[in-house]
Amino acid sequence: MQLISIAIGKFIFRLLRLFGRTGSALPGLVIEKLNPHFLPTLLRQLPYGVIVVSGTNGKTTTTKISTALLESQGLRVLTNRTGSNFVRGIISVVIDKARWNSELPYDIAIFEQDEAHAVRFAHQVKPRGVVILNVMRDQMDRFGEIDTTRQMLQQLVSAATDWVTLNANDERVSHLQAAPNVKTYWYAHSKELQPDFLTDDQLYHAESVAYHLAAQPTVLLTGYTDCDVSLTIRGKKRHYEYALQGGHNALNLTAAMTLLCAVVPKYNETKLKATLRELQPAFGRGEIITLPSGGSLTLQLVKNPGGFTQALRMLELKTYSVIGIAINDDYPDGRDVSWLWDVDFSNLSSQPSILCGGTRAADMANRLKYDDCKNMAVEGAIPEYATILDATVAQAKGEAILFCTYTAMRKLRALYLGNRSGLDEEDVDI
Amino acid sequence: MTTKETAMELTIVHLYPKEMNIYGDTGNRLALQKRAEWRGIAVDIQLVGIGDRLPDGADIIIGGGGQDAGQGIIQDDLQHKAPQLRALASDGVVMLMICGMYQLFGRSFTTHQGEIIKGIGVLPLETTGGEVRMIGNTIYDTLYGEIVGYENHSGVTVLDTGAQPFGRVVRGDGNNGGDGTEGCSVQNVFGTYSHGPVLVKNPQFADELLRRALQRKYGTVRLASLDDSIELAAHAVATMRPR
Repeated sequence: MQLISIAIGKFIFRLLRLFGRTGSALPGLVIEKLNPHFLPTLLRQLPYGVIVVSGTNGKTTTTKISTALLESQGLRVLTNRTGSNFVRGIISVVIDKARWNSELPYDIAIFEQDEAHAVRFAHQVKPRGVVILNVMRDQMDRFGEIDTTRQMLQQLVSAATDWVTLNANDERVSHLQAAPNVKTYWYAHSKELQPDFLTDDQLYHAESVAYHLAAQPTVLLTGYTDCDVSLTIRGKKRHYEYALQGGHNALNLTAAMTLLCAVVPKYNETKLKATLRELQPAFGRGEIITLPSGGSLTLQLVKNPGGFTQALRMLELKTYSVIGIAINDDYPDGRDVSWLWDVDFSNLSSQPSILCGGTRAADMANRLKYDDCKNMAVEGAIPEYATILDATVAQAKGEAILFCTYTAMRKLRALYLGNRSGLDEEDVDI
Repeated sequence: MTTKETAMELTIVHLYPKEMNIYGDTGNRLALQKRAEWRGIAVDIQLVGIGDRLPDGADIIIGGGGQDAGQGIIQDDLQHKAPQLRALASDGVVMLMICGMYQLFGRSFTTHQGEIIKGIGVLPLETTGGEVRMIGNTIYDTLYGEIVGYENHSGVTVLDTGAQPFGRVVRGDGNNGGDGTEGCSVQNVFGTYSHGPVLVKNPQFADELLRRALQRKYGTVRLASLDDSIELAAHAVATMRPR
């Protein structure tokens, strides 16, 4: 049955490629219906098992860094690189990467999954390790409430068979309980870095910014700049060159290092160092792209108040001459844009102008108006917005940054990079 | 006698900003504050949480939506404040309660599990927790014009016969997805399921609240008009987006 499933799946892939499509969820969708045991059977071959990374913010970057770290130690890592969260997306990845004889030539799989998809996935495949990053308000029009989200993550943590990696600074995460024989590896940032990282509750009760540390962490983040990071790993101080921007990415790295400690306790330090030096941001997560007219633009995905607040801190590390914000309200972005009012934009009030784009460009401009920003340009249509932004960056001759929701990021990235975007438009399925 | 706007001031009380503040409802506070300040009216913001005293001289009291847990946490404190809130309501203090706080301004909220959370009975209505979440963009027809917003609730609210709804549902579910009513109003107290936040894309309703508060305090007032082109553009977009 596995052989037939793979053959059918691969055949669909070939058909799709004939029509110029790459990386589609369709083969996975077909096999999911045809053979419900496909995924657990195939993944059972992996000697190091399956790891699931979940939480509100940082999944894609943490998964990408973790993959690089494990690969630096010689492991062959199967991953869902495009961030396709559906179980069928993962089935597609497996079909594509499996050999025709149903052999899966990998040592370990690491998949990022949002809360709801992770629970569905864990029903089919018991993960050996689970990494939970944070619980913040996000996409509540889909999941209802933040406590519902936490309950879904609890189900995921309970499904882990060997170990879990948890954020010791996040109260909601640190209350998650793994099964009795499952080991917990904690990660955290130091108390000194507290002002850089607000948890959801702290974001909403400005007066209670107390430092929370649930347990002694395996890996502790103690400092970062735009070109290096300082960690204390199992009690030893370490210092690495690394070029991802922003505190949120430094914390994602901390989570990935903890995962490495869990999977490869005796990792090779030299190989690790070399890999960290070469790390590139995940697509749209602080990724720097070259615009058609030659300017450079940092793309920073924003999905919720916590992530947006954290992302705005990037403006403290670097000066940008052009700032854009593109807010779409399509299903993957979340239909409700009320959350923009939970982000404090007053540090943008001295900006000479801000380019607002996306279906909810007017909402964004309105939000900025109430934080005393001036000179907001509004262009709802993404193609026109892309042209205006490109021209403005070319004229300003400085660095530019764009904060954008998921579908806005995907569309702008595709418009700017064309064939170089490296992603299939059909992948938009989170 | 009319008072000059520049000599006026308003005290705005935000009830339970920690526990009941989901979906950007804090934006309502910002909308009232800025729209008053842009007209030269001084604003004093008072955050009132569990155990805090309601300040004297509140002109506008606002409250937001929360999680079920939030409603549980505040219920005892709210009962403690209930007599004072009821007195202020009948004294004409302007109040705007969204979603979870709207429900608690009714007589009771019976959760899906059958637990009864007592309300404070300012609004003539009762709510029961339903199975289906009512989620999506909304349009209501109200005495204050077309109101756009976003609803996200599983509570099913039924108004007493003869009670005044805040508006009629043009799009969305409103109070219960059945009778076409949305929200409720009594004197100067308004309750609605609308997030958005409701005041930021419906500036005419924000101004109605300011006008009522100032009128109660200073007698007849005429609010200076503001340039609402950005607010109205956001409003227009909201009417065209999918549910």
